[in-house]
Amino acid sequence: MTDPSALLKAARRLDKGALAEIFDLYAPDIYNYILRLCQDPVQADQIVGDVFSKFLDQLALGQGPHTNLRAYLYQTAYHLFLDQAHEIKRIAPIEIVEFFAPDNYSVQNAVENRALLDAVMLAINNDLTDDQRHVIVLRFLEGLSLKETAKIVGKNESSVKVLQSRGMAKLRKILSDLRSESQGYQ
Amino acid sequence: MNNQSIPSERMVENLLHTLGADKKPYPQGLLETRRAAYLSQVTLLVGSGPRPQKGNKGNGRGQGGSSSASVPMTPLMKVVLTVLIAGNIALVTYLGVLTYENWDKVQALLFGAPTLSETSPAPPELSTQPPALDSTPEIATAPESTVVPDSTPAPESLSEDTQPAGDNSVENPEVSTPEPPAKDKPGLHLGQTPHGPDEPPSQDQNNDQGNDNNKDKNKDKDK
Repeated sequence: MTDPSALLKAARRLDKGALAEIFDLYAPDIYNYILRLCQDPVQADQIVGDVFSKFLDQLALGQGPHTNLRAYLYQTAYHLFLDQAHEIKRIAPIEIVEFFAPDNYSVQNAVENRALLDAVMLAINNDLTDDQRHVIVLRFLEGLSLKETAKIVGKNESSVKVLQSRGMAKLRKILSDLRSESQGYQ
Repeated sequence: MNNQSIPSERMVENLLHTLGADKKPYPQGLLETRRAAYLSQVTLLVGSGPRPQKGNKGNGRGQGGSSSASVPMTPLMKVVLTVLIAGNIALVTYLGVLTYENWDKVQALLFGAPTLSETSPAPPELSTQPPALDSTPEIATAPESTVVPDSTPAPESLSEDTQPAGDNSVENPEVSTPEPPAKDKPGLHLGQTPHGPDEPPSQDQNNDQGNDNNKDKNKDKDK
């Protein structure tokens, strides 16, 4: 795989191969990121198209990122998603939750059961604030660094840390309640 | 009881990482379509090259600035533009000088300034002069004045006739009344009027002419 910085330099020179490689490298990640937020495959695909189209426009104008291409693409996707956020229902239908549930090919030993993952995903989408949700998704589901996450959401790193800790505390409480309920049933 | 049931932060992180690792693959059909569209955009971009920034503000995905903005200026165009600009400057300067020289007219034309009302009485004064000249002959040809010359010589002749007598000066007080000398003035004016309109004579000339006329009349009477 090509070095991201070298890939970006080649893309800024409008190298066709580099531009194609950038799409192949980041389009699936952007798609999954948006899909986790909006739970709509079609909308996620449209946002992916908008992200890369805007990226090309910026390059054509001599603008766009000079460093950290991945954060730039995520940031563009994040803002595009926010623009359409009012059209997105935060309550995820159960079939989409199951879409994120681990199948046999990706199941890890840490996952005790499918219901627990479903509950976590529902809590992320429904019980966290928007900022907490974005930070949790970017930091843990997308694996971005604290610096990248801060750049994408437009906040400083300390604010991101606060959002992350509060989001984690809320998720722990929700999981605790779920566990209590399940023990009560048993 | 709750403290014991609350999962640790590490456990929640593991759950989140597990969710993150579970990536739904991009649907192949959507991915191919999106990739093809993207590559077509790349082809257009690579073929057209970088776009100028000024022409693209607010243009989104347009083709960039207009072609006229990138047309270089030829020397002929520079000469033509220079001549046009210089001509405009000269014209404006000339108009400015004209305006300065004829400021009163311009002011009257633009603002209806009081100078117009002040200057307007002047033409009537000039126009009234010819009627004044025309009126003087009317005065001169008035019947009263024409009668006077006929009457004026009479006292003079009487006076000449009576002067030799000398003694009759008391007997004919009516003839020697001081009125005839007073009526000589209109006679002098009669002598002036034929010359008046053409050559305005001086007072000395009037007196000379009047004396000449009187001498001629006296000579005729003597004859």
